[in-house]
Amino acid sequence: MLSSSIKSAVLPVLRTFVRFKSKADVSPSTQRVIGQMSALSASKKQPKVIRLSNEDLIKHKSIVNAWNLYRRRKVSRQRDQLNKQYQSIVDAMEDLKQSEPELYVWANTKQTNKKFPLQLRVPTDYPPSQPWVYNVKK
Amino acid sequence: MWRKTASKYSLRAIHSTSKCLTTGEKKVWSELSSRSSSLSIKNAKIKKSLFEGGKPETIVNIERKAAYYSPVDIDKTFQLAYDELARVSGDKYALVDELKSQLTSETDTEIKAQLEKKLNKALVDAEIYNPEVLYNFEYDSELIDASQPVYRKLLHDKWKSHDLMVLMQRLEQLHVIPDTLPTLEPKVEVKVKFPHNTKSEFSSWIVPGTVLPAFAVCKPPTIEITLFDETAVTDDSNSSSLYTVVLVNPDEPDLSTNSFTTKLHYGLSNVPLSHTDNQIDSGKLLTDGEEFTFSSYIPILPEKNAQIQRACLWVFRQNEPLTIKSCERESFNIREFAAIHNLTPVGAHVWRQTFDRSVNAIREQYHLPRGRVFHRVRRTDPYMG
Repeated sequence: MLSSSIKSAVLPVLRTFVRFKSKADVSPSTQRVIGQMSALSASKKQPKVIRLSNEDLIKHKSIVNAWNLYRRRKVSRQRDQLNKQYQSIVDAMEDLKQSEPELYVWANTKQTNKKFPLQLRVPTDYPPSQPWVYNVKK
Repeated sequence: MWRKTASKYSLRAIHSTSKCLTTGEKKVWSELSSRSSSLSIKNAKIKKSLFEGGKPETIVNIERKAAYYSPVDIDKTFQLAYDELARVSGDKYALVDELKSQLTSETDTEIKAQLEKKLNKALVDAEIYNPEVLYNFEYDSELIDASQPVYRKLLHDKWKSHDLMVLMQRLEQLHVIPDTLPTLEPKVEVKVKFPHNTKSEFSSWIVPGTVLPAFAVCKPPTIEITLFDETAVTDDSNSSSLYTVVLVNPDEPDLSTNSFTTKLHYGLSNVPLSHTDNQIDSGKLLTDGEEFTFSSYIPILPEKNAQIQRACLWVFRQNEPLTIKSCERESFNIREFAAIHNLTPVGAHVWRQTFDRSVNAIREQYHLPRGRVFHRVRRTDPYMG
């Protein structure tokens, strides 16, 4: 009973071209109940089963495994790179502190008078050749 | 990035599809002289359809097979993925060889244990992505060889994902913990079935907590104990550790104290188990039953109007061989028993029983006296014990 009503509710949706506004053969209240039930149904809560043959499922899983390995390696490589970059910044600052203490203090003071201070620029993997445009003209 | 490499290599893949298997021969997963045969697919047709594509051999129905189409380019992509995974596995096998050579030269037991742990992990890592292993584990349960670390890992993961959670839920909800033993750190999977039954409802593996009729449990059960941890077995499969199995009913009515006692229904000790030989079945009991059994099997037969009763099966790991002559069945203290014999609980199972029509017949079968019938007694003060 319910399945037939769901089918009748779903079938008009499958039509590609409708000249006039279709009249649903279920009442709005029934339609609402169907919507609620389908939203609550167990099939909505779990990932869809991929309908493939056993061999293809194994192939699919292997491809996903290889892809995950590749991605994991890439992420760890990036993380190592960022760690190295950070370490070199720390080393440079230490060097500056030892050699030029005045410059070190100057480098660490906050630019409170500027609306867009230099610190606001977020470090990126691919910085532009001109990192900061100081004299912006409208 | 991936897509780029895929398209770059896909041309090469087209040219070398005919050579897929010949190039695969050199790879670690095709080499079978040093690896177990359980790590490859047994059925040659299925193996061919996995590696060379075409219509899948696992679809038996001819019409369905003809109507089935694999996803576009899955074979080419799979070949790329396979090459990559096999390359990673090759590195792992190099590590395995290195660890093995270290193990032979090492004499310190502590370092040796650490090395064995590392070796085991490397062996798992080397095979965990092997598509043939995945296929066997998923679809060919006969080829699951528990002596291989990779299959043990897969079995352990599967157990942890569902069955272990069900078991622990039932043990706690039915108060097996702490009514029999204070707690359980599950190390082994315990499965129970009563194979004398003809109905599949009762003859298959029992879900923990099921209520079973008396006729379904009238003969001793088959118990499968799957070991996962490496410390359980010292060598690969030759030596094995000893286990004690005890079945108790903590709901035996005790009229003298107006309470309940625990009764022992089945007791086995010194049962040698290993990764491959892990079942206590009728065959094993026929040959070595006398030696193992310190308390023969008597089914739990609840009396009429007594409340639903729990059959708690506990599996202990022994620290040394035991000599238990006989045990008093009535008012059996399982905590004391475990403490005296220095036993570590590693697994448990529970099912329930209640009075039914088959109880009296089975009482006669076991030459037990007629069961009592309990009645409600109106007390003077309903709120007093």
